[in-house]
Amino acid sequence: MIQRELVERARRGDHDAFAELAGTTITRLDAVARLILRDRELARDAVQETLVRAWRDLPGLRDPDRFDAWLHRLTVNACLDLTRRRRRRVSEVELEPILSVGLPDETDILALRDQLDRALARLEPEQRAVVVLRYWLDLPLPAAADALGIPLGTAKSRLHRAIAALRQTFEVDEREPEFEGGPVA
Amino acid sequence: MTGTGRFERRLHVGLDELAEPRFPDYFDEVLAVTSRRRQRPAWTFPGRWIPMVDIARRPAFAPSLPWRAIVLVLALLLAAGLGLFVVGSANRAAPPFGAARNGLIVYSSNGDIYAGDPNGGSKLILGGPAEDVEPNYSRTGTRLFFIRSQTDTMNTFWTMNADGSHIKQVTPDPIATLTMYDWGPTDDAIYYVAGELGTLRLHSVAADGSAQPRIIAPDLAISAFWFRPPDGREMVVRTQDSSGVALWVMNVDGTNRRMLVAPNGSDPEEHDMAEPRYSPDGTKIAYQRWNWNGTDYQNMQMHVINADGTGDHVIPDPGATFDGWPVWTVDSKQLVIQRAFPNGSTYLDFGYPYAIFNADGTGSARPIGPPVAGQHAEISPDGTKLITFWGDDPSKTQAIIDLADGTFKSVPWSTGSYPSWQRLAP
Repeated sequence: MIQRELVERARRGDHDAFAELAGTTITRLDAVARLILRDRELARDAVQETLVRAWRDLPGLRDPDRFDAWLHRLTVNACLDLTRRRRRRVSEVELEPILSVGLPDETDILALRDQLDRALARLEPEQRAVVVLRYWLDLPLPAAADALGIPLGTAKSRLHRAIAALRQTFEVDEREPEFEGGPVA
Repeated sequence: MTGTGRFERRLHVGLDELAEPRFPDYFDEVLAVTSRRRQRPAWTFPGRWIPMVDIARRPAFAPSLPWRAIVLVLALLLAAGLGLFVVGSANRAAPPFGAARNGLIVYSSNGDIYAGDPNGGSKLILGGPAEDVEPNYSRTGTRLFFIRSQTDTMNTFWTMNADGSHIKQVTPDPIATLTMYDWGPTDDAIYYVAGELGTLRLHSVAADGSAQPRIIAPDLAISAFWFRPPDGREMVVRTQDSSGVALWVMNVDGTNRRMLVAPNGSDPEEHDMAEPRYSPDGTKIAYQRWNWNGTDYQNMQMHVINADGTGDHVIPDPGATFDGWPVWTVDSKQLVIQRAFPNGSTYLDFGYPYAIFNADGTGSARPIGPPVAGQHAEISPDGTKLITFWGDDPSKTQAIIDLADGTFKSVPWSTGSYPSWQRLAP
C-alpha cells in the first residue's frame, strides 16, 4: 500500500495503518535522532515523543504527501527540545586523527567516524540538525529548511557555518596529532 | 573533485558510519503507547479553522420623525423593553454587528457544552454520550452551533438555542475535513470551509437544516473568509491554489467578485494572508503576508489595506520576524497582533505578549497580556477585553486580557475550544 493511503487511513484513526507507517520510518528517525543528540537514550526518548505526537496530531496534517517532511520536523523539534532540557555533559570520545585528506578507504573509516563524531560534538544542536538532514537524509536544502521550520536563507547560512566549523575541526585535528588518545571536553 | 566536494563526500561516509541504522528495540513499546492515546480532532489545530465573532459598530440611524412621534415611540419601546426585561433579559437579541454587552462564554469540555461566567461558575448547556465540541454563539447571541464528532475526521453541524433547547441537526451527511466555520451575517446560515488543501471550498448551509449545503464560488479554492461590517453583504476570502495565495472581495453569494491582493509569485504557504479581517467599520482589511524577496521568505508583515484595494501599507515593526493574527479594536483604530523575534539560532521566537498599536502605523506598540504563540483571540462584545489562550496544549487555559491596562486573568475552566463570547443587546 502506498504511503499516502496509509497516511490518510491513519489520519482517520486507523492505528494499524499508523503502525505500518511507524515501522517503515522508525529506523530512519532513530538514526537522525542519534546523530543530532549523540546519545542513544535521548534519541530513544525523542523518537518516542515524535511518534506519540505524530499519532495524536495526524488529523492536523493537511497534505498526506508532506508526511515525511512533517515527521522530520517533529523529530528535529523533539531532539532540540531535549537538548534544551538536558544538562550539558562532557563527551568521552577517543580521538583518532585522520591524516588522509582524500576519500576514506576501509582502514580509516573508523577513524573518520570518530573524527566526525568529535567535530559534530562541537556544533550547536541546531547546526547538527541541518547537517544531518542535508548530508545524511540527503534532503534538498529547501526541504531541510522546511523540516527545521526556518526560512531557506536561514538554513543556508546555518549550514554554511556548520560546514565551516566542521572543516575547521578536521583541519585542526590533522595539524595537531598530539591530541591523539586524549579526552575531548 | 573540489575540496568542498571531497569534504562533503567524507561527511556522507562519516555520517553513514555514525548513524548505524538499525530497527530500534522500543518499537512495540511506542505502539503500545499510541494505541492507548486518542487522536486530536482536526479542528483543534491552530490555523486550521477560524470561527469568528465580529464586532462592527451598528450603522448610524438618522431619524426623521417629528419630535412628539419620537417621544411616543420611545415611550412604547421603553414599556415593551421593560416587559421583555422582566420576561428574561438573557434572551434579548444583540445586533449582528457592532458593539454589544458581554454575556457568557461558551466552551466544550469532555464532549459536553457549558456556558461560563468569567467571574463565576459555569452551567451545563448540553450533556450526554455524544462528543459535542466547538460551540459558537450566533451574532445575536441567541443561538449556538456546535459540532458533533462521529469519528475524528467526520463531523456534523448542529444548532440549538443559547439555553440548550431546540436542538437540530443541520448538515445531514458527515463532513470529512473542516478547516474553518462561522455563523453567517444572520442567524439563518452557517458558513464553513471543507475539503483537502488545494481543493478547499466555501459552503453555506441553512441553520435550521432545511436545505442541503451549497458551495459558494465553486471555481475558487477558498480557505478563509470574513464578513464585511456593517451589514455582512460582502466578504473577503483567501484563495490558495497552484498559482499562489490571493485575497478576493465578493458578495456573500459569490457574485461581484474582484481580486484585492494578487499572488506575488511566492510558493503558496499556509500562513500567508491566513486571516484577513475587516475593521469593525468595514472600511479597511488587515492581513499578514510574508515578505518575499523572489527567492526566500524574509519575515511576516502586517498589512492594512482599504476595502476598495487602495492604500495598502505595512505596519512598521521593531525587528520582528513575524507580525500576524490581527484582531481589530471596536473603534477600528487599533490592531492587536502576535509577534515573534529572532533569538539566537531560533528564527521565530514567540513567547512575547500581544502587541497593540495604531492601524495607521503611527506611534509605537504596547505589549499586553501573557506571552503567546499562535493562539486564537477575539475581542469581547463590549470591546474592552481580548479573550485568548495561554499555556501549552493540552493544559492551555483561556485568558482574558484587559485592553486598557494589559493585565490578564485565567478563566475558571479548562478548554481547547475556540473562544466564543455571547453578545447581548446593549
